[in-house]
Amino acid sequence: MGTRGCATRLVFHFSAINIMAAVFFLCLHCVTASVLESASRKETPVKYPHLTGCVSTNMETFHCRWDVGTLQNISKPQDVRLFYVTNSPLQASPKEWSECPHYSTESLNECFFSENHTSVWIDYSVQLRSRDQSVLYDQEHFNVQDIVQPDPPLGVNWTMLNVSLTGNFYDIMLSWKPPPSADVEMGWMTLEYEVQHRKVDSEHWDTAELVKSTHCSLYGLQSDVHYEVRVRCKKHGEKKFGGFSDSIFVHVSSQASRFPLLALLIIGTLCLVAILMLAVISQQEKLLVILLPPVPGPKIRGIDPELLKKGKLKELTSILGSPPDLRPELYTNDAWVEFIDLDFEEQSDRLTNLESDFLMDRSLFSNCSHLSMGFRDDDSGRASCCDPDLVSNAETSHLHSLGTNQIRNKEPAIASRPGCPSPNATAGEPPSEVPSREALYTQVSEIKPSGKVLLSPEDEMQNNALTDAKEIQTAGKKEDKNNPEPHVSYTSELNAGKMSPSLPACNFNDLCSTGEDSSSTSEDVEGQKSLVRTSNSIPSSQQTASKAITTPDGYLTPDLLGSITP
Amino acid sequence: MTGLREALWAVLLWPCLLSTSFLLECTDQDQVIHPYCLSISQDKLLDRVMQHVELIFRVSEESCSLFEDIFVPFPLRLQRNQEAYACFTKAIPIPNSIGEVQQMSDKWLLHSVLMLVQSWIEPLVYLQTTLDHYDGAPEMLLNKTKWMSDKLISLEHGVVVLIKKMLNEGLLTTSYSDQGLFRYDMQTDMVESVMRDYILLSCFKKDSHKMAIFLKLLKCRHTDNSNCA
Repeated sequence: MGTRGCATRLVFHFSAINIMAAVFFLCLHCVTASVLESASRKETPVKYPHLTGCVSTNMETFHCRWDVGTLQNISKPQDVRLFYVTNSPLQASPKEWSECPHYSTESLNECFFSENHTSVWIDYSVQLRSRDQSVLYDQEHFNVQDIVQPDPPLGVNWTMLNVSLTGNFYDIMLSWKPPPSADVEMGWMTLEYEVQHRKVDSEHWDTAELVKSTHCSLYGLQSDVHYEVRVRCKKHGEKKFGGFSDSIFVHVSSQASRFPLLALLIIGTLCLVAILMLAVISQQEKLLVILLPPVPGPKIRGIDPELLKKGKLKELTSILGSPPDLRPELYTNDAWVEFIDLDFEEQSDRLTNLESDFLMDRSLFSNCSHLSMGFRDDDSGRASCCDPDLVSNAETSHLHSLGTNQIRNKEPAIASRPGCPSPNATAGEPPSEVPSREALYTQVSEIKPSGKVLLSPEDEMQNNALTDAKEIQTAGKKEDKNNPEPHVSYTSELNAGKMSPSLPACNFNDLCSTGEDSSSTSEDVEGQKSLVRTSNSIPSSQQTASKAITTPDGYLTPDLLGSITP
Repeated sequence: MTGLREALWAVLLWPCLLSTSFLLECTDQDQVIHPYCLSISQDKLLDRVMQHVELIFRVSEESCSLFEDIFVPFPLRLQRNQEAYACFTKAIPIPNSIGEVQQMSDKWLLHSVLMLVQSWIEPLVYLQTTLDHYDGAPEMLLNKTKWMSDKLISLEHGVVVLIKKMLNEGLLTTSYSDQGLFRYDMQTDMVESVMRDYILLSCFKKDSHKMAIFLKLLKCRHTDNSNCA
């Protein structure tokens, strides 16, 4: 109880002390505040009258403005006076201060200097004095041309320059007139203009570069957006600008019809791409041929391509190493060209004639054509041998070559052995029915040591002999599939080389060479193979042939043939 | 006989030949206005002279502000407007208000321009030498002053020819620079020297502004513009 009583008494005392302290502090605060207030009232710094600036708008007049400040004894405008003096070079007398020529009536605290009192390029001194001129409040020195701040330009308007494709952006051309107060025509003032623009809801102004002309272009404004544009100008060479002109508002609404244009463009390009793809896919093979032409295999005229394959180098070198006389077709260069030319020229002439005259065995023809068709050189392109277009020319060219030989006075009768295209041998036609222009060299008259076989134009008498020779030939062909008579194949090969360039050795051999070609279904390569093989054996056979040949009648008898065969 | 006559003609006409050769030298594309370049048209010559002066004015502004930024401490920058400060060209009688300027005759305008140009040739040369002595004078400032002094010489040529064309006066023999308006003495004190050069550049800027305005007024008058006074 006692403690409790003590505690309560303590608490009471404590709270009382608190209250008293609070009151004390409050009083103190109030006193100090009042003291401070009174003090501050007295110690407020007095703002004296001062010049706020002297500005000229056109370099012909100017005005000076001032602020009266907070002096208590300045109640009327006359309490503050402005004096000025010019440091004119023409005045010899000491400067005298003059009072402001005209205190402005429409605005307070402004002194206006008219044209008569304005001199450019002259130092001005302006002083702000009290009424009794005892106190100098402020002074300024300047040259009038340095204090120029022109009036804002007038008549700002805009015209549309162009609109973007989508219609979302456009360019405008702003134009305005210089302030009327500035004498720009005479050149007294040279002004530079600055254009500012912003979106209406934005705080930031975009400033364009200074221009000396009274127009300016703004690029890249957005449609459906309100823009605010304003212009101000300054004297060339000065830093301070004049006031801004009245803002104008620019707004262009976008046209919705332009929007689908983009979509149309996209759809158009997609369609084009699809068409291109279709074209590419449909013409795939042709394109592949154009883009990736097949690579021609190795080919040497007169040599079996098989030999050119890997592993057959020995045979190839033996062929190439043989004396040139034996392989004239390997070493002649111009045979191709001559034969090709002639074939195409005379084709149309002879075709009709020859067709009627060809009453040869159709089977042979078909075989030939088949063969010729079948035998396609592995070469690509049309420059080299076998071409289906030239099949029809096969027979004709053969005949042509026969004729041309006659004409050209070359070694006579190096004609092809009668193969299937030979009309006389097969069909047994009388040679008289052959076009009279040419004589067919179908009779072997002589076999030279060099291996060349001389053919002579046939006579009617020798038709049978020819057919016999042909039979022998075919028989021989059938007997020796792989080892045909060298001379037969030889000649055919020779002739192929010389007589029918349009039909290269391959084709000709096909038609005229060993019968195994016709009978076999093997590739022409085999025919060539056989040819080549026979050619290998040529030297030996030639020697035998040269010795043994006696051709009284101009054709080979079977025993002669036999002697020739190895 | 005919050969002799031809020779005689040639002898008589050789001054013309000489003058025409001078005339032929001068084309409208000439950058330097040769004093004997008389074949250029008056309008083109006036345009060319105007462009020269405007360029000189622009470069003088740049030089003045550059010099001020680098060499003149801020408190001293207003001193150029002090009463004590005066350009040495104040002796040249040139009107200072637009009214008076508009009343100037063409002859007075052109002669004023010529006077100003000739007075400033020597001080600019002097300015070049003093600027070289400053530490840290930027290359650009030196180049500008050199450029201005070069252009001023060619401007003098042009104004002389223009006077001859427009006023039909002969080539002037007296030069205004002989009057010795500009006096300089080598100042040892750096601040003094800086202030003097600062004042010199400001005066040149002012005078080139004058020249530019005079020529613009002249151009305005000669383009049949009724707006000019």
